[in-house]
Amino acid sequence: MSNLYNVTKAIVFTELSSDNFYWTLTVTINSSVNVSNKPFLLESFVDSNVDIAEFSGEQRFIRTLLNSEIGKYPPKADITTTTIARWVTYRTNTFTNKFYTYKALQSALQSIETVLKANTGSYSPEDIKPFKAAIKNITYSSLGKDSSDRTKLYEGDTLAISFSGGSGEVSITCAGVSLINLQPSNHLKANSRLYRIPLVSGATFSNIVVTDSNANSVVTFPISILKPDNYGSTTEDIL
Amino acid sequence: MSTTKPVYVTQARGGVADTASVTGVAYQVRTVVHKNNAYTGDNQDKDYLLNLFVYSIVDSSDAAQDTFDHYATIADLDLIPTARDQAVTRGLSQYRDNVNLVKFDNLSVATTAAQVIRDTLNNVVSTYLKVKSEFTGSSTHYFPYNVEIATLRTEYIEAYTTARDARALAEQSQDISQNSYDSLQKDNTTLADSKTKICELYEYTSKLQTLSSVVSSKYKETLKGLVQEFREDTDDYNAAYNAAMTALEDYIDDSSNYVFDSNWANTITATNAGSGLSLLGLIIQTNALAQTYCSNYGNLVAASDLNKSAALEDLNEKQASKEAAATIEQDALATLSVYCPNLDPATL
Repeated sequence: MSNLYNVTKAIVFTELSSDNFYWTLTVTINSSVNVSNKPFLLESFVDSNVDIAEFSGEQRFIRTLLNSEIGKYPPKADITTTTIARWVTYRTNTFTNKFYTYKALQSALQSIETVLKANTGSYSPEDIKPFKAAIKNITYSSLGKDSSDRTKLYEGDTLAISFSGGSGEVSITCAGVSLINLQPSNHLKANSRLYRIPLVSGATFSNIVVTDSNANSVVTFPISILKPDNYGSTTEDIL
Repeated sequence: MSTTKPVYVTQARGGVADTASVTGVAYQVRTVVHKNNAYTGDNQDKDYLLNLFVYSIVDSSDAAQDTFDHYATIADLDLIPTARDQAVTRGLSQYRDNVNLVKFDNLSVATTAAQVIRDTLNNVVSTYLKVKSEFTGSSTHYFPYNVEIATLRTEYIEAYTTARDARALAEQSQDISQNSYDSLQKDNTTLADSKTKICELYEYTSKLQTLSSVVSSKYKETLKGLVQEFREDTDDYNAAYNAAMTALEDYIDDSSNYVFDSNWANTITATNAGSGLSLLGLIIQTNALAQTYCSNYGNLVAASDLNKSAALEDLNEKQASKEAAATIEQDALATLSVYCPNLDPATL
């Protein structure tokens, strides 16, 4: 099935008085196939200790993201409370924006459709890149793999998981292990994620699964988490 | 002599006496365009490009009143005649000539003008030759075009990519301001918390200080009361003894005899005071320190508040700039997609 967006556009003209009028554009992506359904970049100024999910202030539409930019911005649901006030940028599937000239609205609509068309690969299907992911142990990279082809890691190691292509709508899970996210969720900077392996009670087998939910692509990395057995202090003679 | 350039100019520059000038001297630039006889291109170019100065006719019967109007444009070369009498006959108010004389009051302007005249003539001549070269020939065109017009395409792509890069820069700029604001907020929170606690401590020690003063005066009053009571109960004692008691009361009243100073500011040591007085002194000194710290932290918090406000203002400006840049990018992309409907913006 080819890539597509199912979009609803609503344009409303509001005339409060003869010299106070504007056009409102609402665009909603109802569903998408193989592409992220949240390509609209919005920004809000959120006060400290306010949960973005419960935030009801002004949401400013910034622009529509290309596929290659999707992974740099978190969806709204992934943003947690911050202790300090800040501008928070996030992706959604819908936005509403006001325009004081129809031409401005037309330009916005035209550019949105152009970017969405680019994301579906309508211009150049050969440019659609397949979803790929890679994992790198940036703390300790020399352990290699065990006999079952599992990547060996120590508890406490730091992992960089990078991905490219696909829709950019990526989630990462690791069954039975709560990976410690080292990046603030509201300030992602590239198509990569940084995690630390938590302390485990004993040697653990698991899989790090990187999923592009919109492209139905999954990349799995079997891992073997090692727990060192020499913690504590020992006194010995070195001969 | 060049064989590829149809005309050349000679320019005479110098100072001349001029009664109309404030200083009595004017700086004159006389420019004459000549045909280049060595030119091997189209022979007509030499004649066509010879008269590049456009003059306005003030009085058709008096050529001396003619004034220089402007340098010829490409269109002027076709529309304005080169002979004055021909222009008069046709009822026109302008004609072209190959000689130009201009005067200036100061040397600086004259020097610049001499260069401007040469550059302007060079521009007219080179533009004409380029236009002529591109125009000459024949071609066949089928419509509609199957590719976008190259020049417009390049122009709109550049407009979009420039706007996109400007927006990316604005995003970076906002990030820097956000980091700065984050840092100031953390500082401000720490300072405000410290100030609240130290000032709370100050409030408590102030209450202790009040009690300390009461306690110290009570010490004195109690001691004096005991002496007075002792005197009242001992009327049989002699005058010398009464005088001694009075002296004792005076000694107690004289604050200079106390081991601590009146402000309780100096350290009480074990050698000159008891532990009770030392405790009182320390409480009062603690209060003074807490007051100073509370005041200092008040100033720090006030300065931090100002810095934080300024940083937020800067951040909001950067956010607004980014939003404006995003709108410009959006407009540029809209224009690009209208004129180049088959161009993928993701590939730019």
